Amino acid sequence: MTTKAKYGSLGVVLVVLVLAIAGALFWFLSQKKTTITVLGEKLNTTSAMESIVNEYEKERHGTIHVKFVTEDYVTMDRLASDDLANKTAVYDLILQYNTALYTYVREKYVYTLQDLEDPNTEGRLRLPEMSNDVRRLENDLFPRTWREVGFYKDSNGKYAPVAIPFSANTMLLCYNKRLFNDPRHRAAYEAKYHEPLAPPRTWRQFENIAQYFQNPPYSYGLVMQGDKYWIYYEWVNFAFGMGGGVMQKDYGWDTDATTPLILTKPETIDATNLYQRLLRYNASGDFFNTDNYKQRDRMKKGDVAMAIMWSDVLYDFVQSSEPGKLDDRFGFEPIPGEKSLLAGGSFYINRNSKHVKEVEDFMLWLTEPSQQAKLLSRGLCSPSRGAYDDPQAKALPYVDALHRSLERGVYMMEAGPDADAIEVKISDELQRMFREKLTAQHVLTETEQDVDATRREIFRQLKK
Amino acid sequence: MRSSNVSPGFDERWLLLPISVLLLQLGFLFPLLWKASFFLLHSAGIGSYSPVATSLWRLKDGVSELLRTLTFSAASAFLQTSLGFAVALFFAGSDPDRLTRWLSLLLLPALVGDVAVGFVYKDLPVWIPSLQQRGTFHTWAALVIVQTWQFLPMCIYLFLLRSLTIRGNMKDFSRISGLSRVENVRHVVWPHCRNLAFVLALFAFLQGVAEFSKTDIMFGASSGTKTEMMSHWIDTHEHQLGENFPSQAQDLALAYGGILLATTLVSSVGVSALIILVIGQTLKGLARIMQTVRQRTGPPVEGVAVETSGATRMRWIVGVTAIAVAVLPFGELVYDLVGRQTRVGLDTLANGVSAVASGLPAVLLAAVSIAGVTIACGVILRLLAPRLTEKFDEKSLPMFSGILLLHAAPGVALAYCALHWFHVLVADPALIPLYWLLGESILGLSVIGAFILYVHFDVPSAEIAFYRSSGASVREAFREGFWSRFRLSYLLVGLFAFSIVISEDAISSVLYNFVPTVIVRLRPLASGRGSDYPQAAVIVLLTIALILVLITLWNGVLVRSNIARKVEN
Repeated sequence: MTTKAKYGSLGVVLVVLVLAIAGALFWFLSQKKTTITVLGEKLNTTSAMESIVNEYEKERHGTIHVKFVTEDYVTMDRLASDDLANKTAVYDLILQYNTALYTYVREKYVYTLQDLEDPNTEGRLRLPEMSNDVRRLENDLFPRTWREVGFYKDSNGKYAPVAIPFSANTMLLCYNKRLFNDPRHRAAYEAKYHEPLAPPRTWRQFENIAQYFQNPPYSYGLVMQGDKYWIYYEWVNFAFGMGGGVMQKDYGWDTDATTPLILTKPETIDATNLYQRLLRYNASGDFFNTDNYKQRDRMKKGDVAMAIMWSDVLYDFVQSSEPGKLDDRFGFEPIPGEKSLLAGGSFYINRNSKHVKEVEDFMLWLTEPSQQAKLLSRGLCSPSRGAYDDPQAKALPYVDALHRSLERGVYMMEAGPDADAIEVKISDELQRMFREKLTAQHVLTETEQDVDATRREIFRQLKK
Repeated sequence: MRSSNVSPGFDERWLLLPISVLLLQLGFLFPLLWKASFFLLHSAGIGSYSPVATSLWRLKDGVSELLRTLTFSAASAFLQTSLGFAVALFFAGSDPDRLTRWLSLLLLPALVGDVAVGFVYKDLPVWIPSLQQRGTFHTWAALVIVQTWQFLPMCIYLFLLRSLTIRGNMKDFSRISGLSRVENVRHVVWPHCRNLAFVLALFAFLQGVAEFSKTDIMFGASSGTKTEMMSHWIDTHEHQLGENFPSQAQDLALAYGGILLATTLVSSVGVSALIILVIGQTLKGLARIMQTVRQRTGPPVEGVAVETSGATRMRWIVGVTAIAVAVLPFGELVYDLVGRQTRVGLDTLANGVSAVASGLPAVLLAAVSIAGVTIACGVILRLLAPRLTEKFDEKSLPMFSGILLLHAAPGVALAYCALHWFHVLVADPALIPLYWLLGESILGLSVIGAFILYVHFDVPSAEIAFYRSSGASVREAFREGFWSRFRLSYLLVGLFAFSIVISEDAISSVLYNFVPTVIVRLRPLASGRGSDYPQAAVIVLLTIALILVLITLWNGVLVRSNIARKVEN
C-alpha cells in the first residue's frame, strides 16, 4: 500500500470513528433523564418523600429522576434564597416554610398557583389537570393550615392561595406515660392538688404537674428549649395560648407597619412570667443550648414528665431501638388551652427552573390521597385531612393529637417580612431575661419598643 | 547540572505560575474588596454607594462581637505559640526515638477540623455547670481553652520538628561554651524557631477570627447569651436581612467581611510580632536571672547537650501527657455511643463509611492539587525572588499578609465570593465540583503557602546564587536544593491540605450536597433539628481513623528518612 493510500484509509477510519462517537453522544444525550432537584430541610418530612420517589420514577417509566438535597434549616434557607435571588436555578422545587412566603411572592421568585392555573400568563407551563387538582385539594386540606402556609393577598387585597402545602406542623404536649400512670403518683398528686393526675388541659395544671414531678434525681418536671430560635418557638405556645402574643392579626404573613403589637399586653406578661417560673422544673443540663433534638434526647431517658415538642420530629422520637417497633412510653395531646400553633410549609416552584412541567407533575403526584396517607405513616405531618383516616397512620401514637391540634390551629408564628427580625429579637431577649434574671415586664417592654422600631424601618425600606 | 559556560540565571517565565495563582486569589476575593471599598468610601462621604438596608444592619452594633473575637484570637494565639514552644523545649536537643514517632499523634486535634472538635465538646456546659449561665468571661475562657487544646499540640509538634533540625555544630557550640539550659534556649533554640513561631502565631490568630463551628455547637452562639463571634454576627444579620433584601444582604456581608479582613490583617501582624517580642523578652529576663544565680552558685556541672536519665524520664512524662491530653477527649465519642444505649447498627456504620468514603477521591484530588501547586509556587518564589523570601522582614511581610488574605476573610463572605463567581461564570450544577475544587485550592493555598515559604527560609540565599551562577535550571535546583531537603515537609503540607479540604465549610456551604465531603454530611448531623448524634459520632470516629492512617504513613516516611542523622551530617 502506498503512503498516500495508508493516510487515506487512516483518514476514513478517523472520520468513521468521530461520527460513531458523535452518534453515540447524541444518542446518550437524547436518552438523558430529566432530573428534578428538590431542596428541603433534613427531617422526617423529606425522608418520607424520598422513600417513595422510586415509585414515582417507576410510574413515569424512568424518564424522570428526582434528587433530594436536604440540609439543616438555616443552611437550607440560605441555599434557597441564594439560588432564587441569583437566578442560578440549581433547585427546581423548594420545600419552604411560611416565613419565606412573603419574600418569594413579592420578589416573584416562584410560580404562584395563579401563574400555574392561568392559561394566558405562562400558559405553556400549565398542566391540564392542574385546576382539577387544586379543586380537589380545596376540599381535602386543613383550611386554616392552608391559609397560614400557602395564602397571600392578591393584587386586589383579597386572600388567595399562592402555593400548595406540603406539610402541616404544630407543637404537641408529650407526656411520660410511666410517670402519669404510676398509682403512687396519681394518689399523691390528687392529695396535693385536689384533681386527678392527667395530661394537663390548662396552663395552671401544666405548672402544677411540672412542679409535682420535679424531684431530682428521680424525676423532673419538663424539658424546655432555650436555644436560639427554639426558645421563641416554645414561648409563643404560652404567650398565645394564654391570650397574649406578639401581634393582633389573623395570619402570620398578614402584616404591615400598622399591625398592633401586643407584647406588653397583661396576658403576654403573665404567660412570660409562667414561662420564666418553669425553668425551676427544667431537666435539661444546658438550657441555652437545648434545641429540639436535645429535648427529644433528654425525654428518651424516661425520667421527665412533659415537654412541648414539634410535631415534625415525632416520627423519629416514637421509634423504638428495636427495629420495626414503636416506643410506647410516651403519650401525646394538644398543648394546654384552646388553641394550637399552626406552621408548615409549601411547595415552591423556582421561576427559573427548566423543568416546570415535570416539577408540577411530581408535586401533584405527592398530593394524591394515597401518597399522603403513605407519607403520614412515614413521618410527614400531612396537610391532607383524608390521610388521618388511614389505619396505618393511626397506629402512630401522636397522629390523633396532631389531627386535633391542626383542626384547632391558629396563627402564633410570624411569617411576614419582619418575621426573622422579630424571631431573633424575641429569642435574644428571652435568653437575656433568663441569663440576667430580669423581669418579664421589663424585657417585654424593651422588646416591644425595639420590635416596633425595627418593623417601621423594614416597612419603610420595603416601600422604597 | 548544566556546564558553567551556559549563561547564568533561571528561566523567568516560571514566575508566571505564582503570579497567576496570586491573581486567581485576588480575583476570587474581588467582590469582597470591591464592596468593602465602596462601602468605606460611602462612609467617608465619597461616592453614592448606599445599600437601602444599611439602617437595618449597622457596623457599629457589632463592636462587642468584634472585641470578643479579637481578644479571643489574640489570647489563643499567645497560648498556642508560647506554650507550644515551652513544651517543645522538653524535646529540643534530643535525638528522635520511639517517643518522637508517637508524638505525631499531636497533629490529630488540628487535622480533624472544627465541626468534629465542637461535636466532641458539645456537652462542655453540661460537664461544667458554671458555663450554663453563660457568664461572659467563663464562655470566652472556655472557648480559648478548647481552641488552645485543638491547636497547641500541633504547635508543639511543629516546634519539635524544627528543633530537630538544629545543626550539630550549634549543639557542639552549646556544649563547649557550657551554656545553661536557659541560655541555650535563648541563644540557640529560640533564634532557630523564631520564624516558625511568627507563622504559627499568625495562623493561630487568623484561625481564631474565622472561628464559627465550635462556638455554635458548644454554646449555641447567640446575641442573647453574648456568645456570638464576628463570623456569627455577619451570618445572623445576613440571614435576617436576606429575607427581604437578598442582594443587599450579600453586598453588606461582603462589605463587612472586607472590613473585618482588613482589621484582621493589620491586627494579626501586630499581635504576632507582639507575641514574638514577649517570648523573646521573657527568655532574656530568664537568662539574666539564671546568670545571677550562676554567679552565686558557680558554673553548671554539665553542659546542656548531655541528656541525663532524669531528663529522658521527664521527656517521656511530658510527651505521654501531651499525647493523652490531645487524644483522650476523642474517647468521649465512644463513651457517648456506649452510654446512649442505642444500638449502633450496621446501617449507621454503613452510612458513616459512605459519608467518609464517598467524597474521598475528590478530597484527595483537591489535597494533591493544593499541595502540588503550593510547593511549586514556593520553590519558584524562593529561586526567582530570593531576597523577598529569605526571612521575615519588611520586604516579605506584605507578601505573607497577601497570601494569608483569604484565610482572614469570614466564611460567609467567602461563600458569597464563591457564589458570585458561580453566578457570573457558568451556573451549571454539573460544573459545581470544578468551582469547589477551585475554591478549596484557593483557600488552602493561603494557609499552606505561608508555611511552605517559611520552610524554604532554610535554603541559604548563597546556595541559590550558586545554582543561578552555575546555570542550573529551576527543575535541577529543585531536585538538588529542595526535594532532598524538604520532602518530609512537603508530605506534611499534603496532610495539612487534606485536613483543610476535609474540614472546610465556607465553600461547601454554597456548593452543598453536590460535593460529597465529610463536612457536608457531618454538619447537619452534629447540630440542628435533623441532628443524629450516634451517626455523627460514627462519622467523626471514621474520620479520626482515616487521619490516623495518614499520620502513620507520615511516621513511616519520617522514620525511613532518619532525619536526625541527615541533619547531623
